[in-house]
Amino acid sequence: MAQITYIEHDGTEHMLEVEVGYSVMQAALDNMLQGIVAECGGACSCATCHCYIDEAWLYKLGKPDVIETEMMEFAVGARDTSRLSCQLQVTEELDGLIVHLPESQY
Amino acid sequence: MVESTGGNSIAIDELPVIDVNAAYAPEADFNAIVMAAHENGPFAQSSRGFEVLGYKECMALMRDPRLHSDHMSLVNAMGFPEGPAMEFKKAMLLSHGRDEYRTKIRQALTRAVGASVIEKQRPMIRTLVGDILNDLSQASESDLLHKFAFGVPSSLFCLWFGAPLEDAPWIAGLSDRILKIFSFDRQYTPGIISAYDELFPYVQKRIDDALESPKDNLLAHFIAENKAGHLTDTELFHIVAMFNEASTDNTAHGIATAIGELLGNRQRWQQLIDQPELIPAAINENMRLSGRINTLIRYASQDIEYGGVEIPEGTGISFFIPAAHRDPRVFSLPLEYDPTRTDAHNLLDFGGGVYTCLGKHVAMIEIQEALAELISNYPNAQVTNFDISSNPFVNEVAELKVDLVGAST
Ligand code: HEM
Ligand code: FES
Repeated sequence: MAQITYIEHDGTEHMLEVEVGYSVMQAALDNMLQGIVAECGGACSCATCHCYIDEAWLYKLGKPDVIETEMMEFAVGARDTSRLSCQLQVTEELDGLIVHLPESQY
Repeated sequence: MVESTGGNSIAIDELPVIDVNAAYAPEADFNAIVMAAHENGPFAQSSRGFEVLGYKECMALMRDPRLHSDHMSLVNAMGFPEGPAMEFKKAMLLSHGRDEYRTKIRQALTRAVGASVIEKQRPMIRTLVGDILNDLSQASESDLLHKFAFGVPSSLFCLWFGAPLEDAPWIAGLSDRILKIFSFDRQYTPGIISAYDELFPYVQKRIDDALESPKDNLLAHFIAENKAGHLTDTELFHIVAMFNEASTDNTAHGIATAIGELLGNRQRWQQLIDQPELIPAAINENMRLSGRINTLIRYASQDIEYGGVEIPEGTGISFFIPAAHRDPRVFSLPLEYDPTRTDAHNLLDFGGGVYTCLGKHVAMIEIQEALAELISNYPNAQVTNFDISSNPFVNEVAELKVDLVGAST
């Protein structure tokens, strides 16, 4: 289990206990969080699971692969700290991760 | 050459011409035709209308909110009569554009078969694949297409929805008949309608049985979503019916193609025996060169200018997927099979954007486990007959016969 904090654009915080092996996107969807749409269901094909990673955590996640990088071009409001949450697999090391959700995925 | 010069856009009928039907003629050199077309740029016109050949252009346009899918126009072109099948088609996910219903159903399906949750079912799928393989006769010519490739996804359907495993061949047959809709050929319509007439009472029986004596399966998950108010009764029914058509046929052809092409080539097979960790990449690479889907169609919801081309509202846009998968601007040595390639990109076989296939992950797990079990149980197997029939819309494996014990005897 890892504890992940999702912060919506208006500051609302959700702290979830997420099973190792789940994606950051799947946990958000299973808990019906607003802010992650995930239209493609994690196929790295829609960019509607876009999130911003808290700077302190960015280096721990490693670099996105070519498919995620390619898809990020379609994310609305992408920045240097952007990732697609369906591609972020939860590990014990990510206990305490903080992700910020954009105002809109479209 | 079409360039995005901004302002000076050209009409579709000014684009270079590609003869898509000729590319699928029996003696045609498909690769030569497609590579020649790429030299003229990422777009073309054909008798079907506007063709997108470029990989990046397919990626972008599949996700463009100014385009939509239109399953009902296919249903109407196939001449569906009024009745339960027509009602189902009108209501189900495929016929919805970018609306709340689409998001709601897709999120429910992601909670059920999304990447992380489905990975947990890999051991169960491996066991299922192993059992089916064990039951195969080791006669010199095993029919791996029907017994194995169709057997895996249709048996999984049975486990998911609480049906007896003996029903699997019948389930596979229904899915096969129903998906003939993508042939764009009206001769199949009566078969499609009668398949739905058989499917609907069967689906209702699965739901009734599950309500009476619940099991721990995918149907129980959907029933829980129904009880929690996330899915209506009708939505629950439609999801089960949709899984029949969506989950079986495409996956079966994916399994059969992977076996036919990879086992059919000694060098590729030996590489996988030596380095089984390459299996997932080999399947992707094989799917890039020999996929199931040849064309996906979207329609322009408004007048669009894209990449220097004017696309009027209502235009049908054909994504010519095998061409995009050979795009020399994206893939180095695009015609070469190379499972270690570093320029591997997202496959277009599963579509894109809000319409993307929701079964991609489970389909890939099924294909991977099928290949892995075959490699570890029958490394010396030999393909004795493998035949794919192709048309501009899909590739279908017509035959896959394998001598399982092969060279070792
Ligand atoms: C190799 C196997 C498969 C292939 C090649 C495939 C291909 C596709 C394609 C091309 C689409 C349309 C995408 C678009 O227009 O952008 C699609 C949609 C869909 N697929 Fe698959 N599929 C496969 C297996 C599966 C499986 C196993 C399932 C279910 C478990 C499934 C469920 C769906 C669903 C529900 C849709 C409808 C999506 C929508 O309209 O929102 N597919 N698939
Ligand atoms: S869910 Fe679609 S890209 Fe992440």
